[in-house]
Amino acid sequence: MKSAVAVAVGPELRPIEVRRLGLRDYEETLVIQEEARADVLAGGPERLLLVEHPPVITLGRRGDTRHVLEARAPVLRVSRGGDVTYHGPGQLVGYPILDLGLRGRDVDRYLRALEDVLIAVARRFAVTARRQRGFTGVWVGNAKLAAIGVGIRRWVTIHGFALNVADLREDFAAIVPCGLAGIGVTSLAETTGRRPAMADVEAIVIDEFQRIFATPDVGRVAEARSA
Amino acid sequence: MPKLSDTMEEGKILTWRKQVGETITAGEVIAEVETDKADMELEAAESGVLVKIEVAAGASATVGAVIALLDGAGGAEKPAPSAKKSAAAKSTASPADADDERVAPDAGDDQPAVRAKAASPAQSKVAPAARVETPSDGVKASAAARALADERGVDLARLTGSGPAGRIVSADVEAASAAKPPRDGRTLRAPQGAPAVSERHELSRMRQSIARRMSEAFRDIPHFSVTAEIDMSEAVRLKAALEKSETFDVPVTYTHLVLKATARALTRHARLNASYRDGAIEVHAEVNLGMAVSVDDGLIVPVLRRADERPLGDLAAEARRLVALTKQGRFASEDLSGGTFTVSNMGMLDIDSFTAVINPPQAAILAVGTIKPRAVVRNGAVVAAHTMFVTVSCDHRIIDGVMAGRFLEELKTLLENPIGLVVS
Repeated sequence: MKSAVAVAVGPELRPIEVRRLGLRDYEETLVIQEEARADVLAGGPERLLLVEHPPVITLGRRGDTRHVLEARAPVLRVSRGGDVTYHGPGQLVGYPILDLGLRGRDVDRYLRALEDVLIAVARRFAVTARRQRGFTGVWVGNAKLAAIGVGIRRWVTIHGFALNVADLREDFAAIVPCGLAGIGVTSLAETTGRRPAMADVEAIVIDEFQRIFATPDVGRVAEARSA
Repeated sequence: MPKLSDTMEEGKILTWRKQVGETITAGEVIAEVETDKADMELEAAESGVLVKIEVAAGASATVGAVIALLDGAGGAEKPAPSAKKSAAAKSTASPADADDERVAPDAGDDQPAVRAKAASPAQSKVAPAARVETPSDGVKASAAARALADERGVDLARLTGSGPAGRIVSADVEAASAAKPPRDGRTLRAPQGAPAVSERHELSRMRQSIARRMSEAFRDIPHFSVTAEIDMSEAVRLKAALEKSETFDVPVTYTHLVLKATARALTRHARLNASYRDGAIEVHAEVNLGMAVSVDDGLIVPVLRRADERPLGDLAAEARRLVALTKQGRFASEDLSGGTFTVSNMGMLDIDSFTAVINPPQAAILAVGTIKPRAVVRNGAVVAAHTMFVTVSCDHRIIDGVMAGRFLEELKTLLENPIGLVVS
């Protein structure tokens, strides 16, 4: 009767495949994401892609070019939520290709679960990070440690999160992060006083991600409905 | 508007991928909807012709609201439900001259922005093409036919309809546009001497409102402005210290410090917290600060109520909440009313100083420039210090230069000794 129980709490999930892509162009990775999403839509396994990008500034649909102060990197407009952000070496970017159709079809819960993953990662580095209501992302004090912005088609996600590992304050100076003037950015390097190895951060992100997304009803296990 | 989350109340249309008149098959992406930091592609549940867009790109709608009308019969046509209403609204519009294709403001709902934008520059220059979509032309045509005629630049008034009761349907427009000779280059040219127009967009509701209020303010209020340079060195130190100690639940920004100082200065210089009304000066009992927030092609001024009574942390939290709601387009009308003074901050841009237009019925507005290191003289030596220029624009009917000057002196004292903003 094991399967009956699984149906009661939601569809059974297959393991999430993790791909570490290393340093890759933003646009090249976008193609990989789109392919992965097509595969997930066709019934393939959900994935987590981890990557570092060469310097690039991306604007979400609502991104305002006025928020880009000086373009020291190429500027791309992309189909994710949110305003403008910067990616570059020293930042770990995660692109979960998840089927929210299997996970409660709730965009808000998905965003909160991504925040939970990053807060848990920070905690592993003894950094107290938190969310701020109304400002999706993960914050240490008033500085942004990780940015989040996602795109969804037929409940399958692309885009995701960007965790600042190295001190990127100078790189971010070229933009107003996510349009919030006067709000700074921080990093694991700045908050811990030493720059952790990217491979270590990747391992911890994978660990926390798999833990939090192990259940279909992301972040709300206790509330799993009996339907 | 689909519900993308249990907690979602409203979503914003980021972009329409389909235009009025286009045929859509079930499963095709027709629009992108945004909630929080997620961008969701919205698919058509059924096939049909998109006959009307109810919520234009950039606008928000509550969950469950109708955002567009799809004619489900796979190409069969029916008039848009609003055709009657739109005819009534437009019959009051005076006949436009050849270069004027504006519609009556009340017609805004019936005039989806996508349609206006869909017209190519060439088409918007050819006046008849733009006017055929108004039912005041007395022509009976389906919504899809109107959209198509708009797109192709066909004058509906010249066509004979083959639909019921002589109504013009898409096929008639198709036939006419196929027979229509290519447009003469001359018609694309602007009238002699006038600069060529490459694009023409109807004003959004918000821009109409801004246009009306700002014209009124600039025409009726005798403005003058006064500028001061404020040394922000202490404020920079204070902000850093507040961050480091995480004194408040939400981060305090320079904007919050300026708002706090402004509110306090206004309690001491109440004439700037007043209105000129019916030949009298009305001094307000409360300090309700408007915060000019820039949004896509516009400006919204949410009001921070009783700013003078709020401790800094509370003020910061409330300001943040209001700005976030405004940016998401989720403000209520009471969030925008009752302001007694406005602060317009361009500190996020590298702007030294600017003058703002008063937001009536208020009597003054503060324009805040960027904080950056500038050369200042201290004890006879030139040193670098973080400074900021502020400019207050005032209604000279009730405020004189010296009052404005004293207010700025007070503001300067408060911001140059900012610890007082935190402790009380």
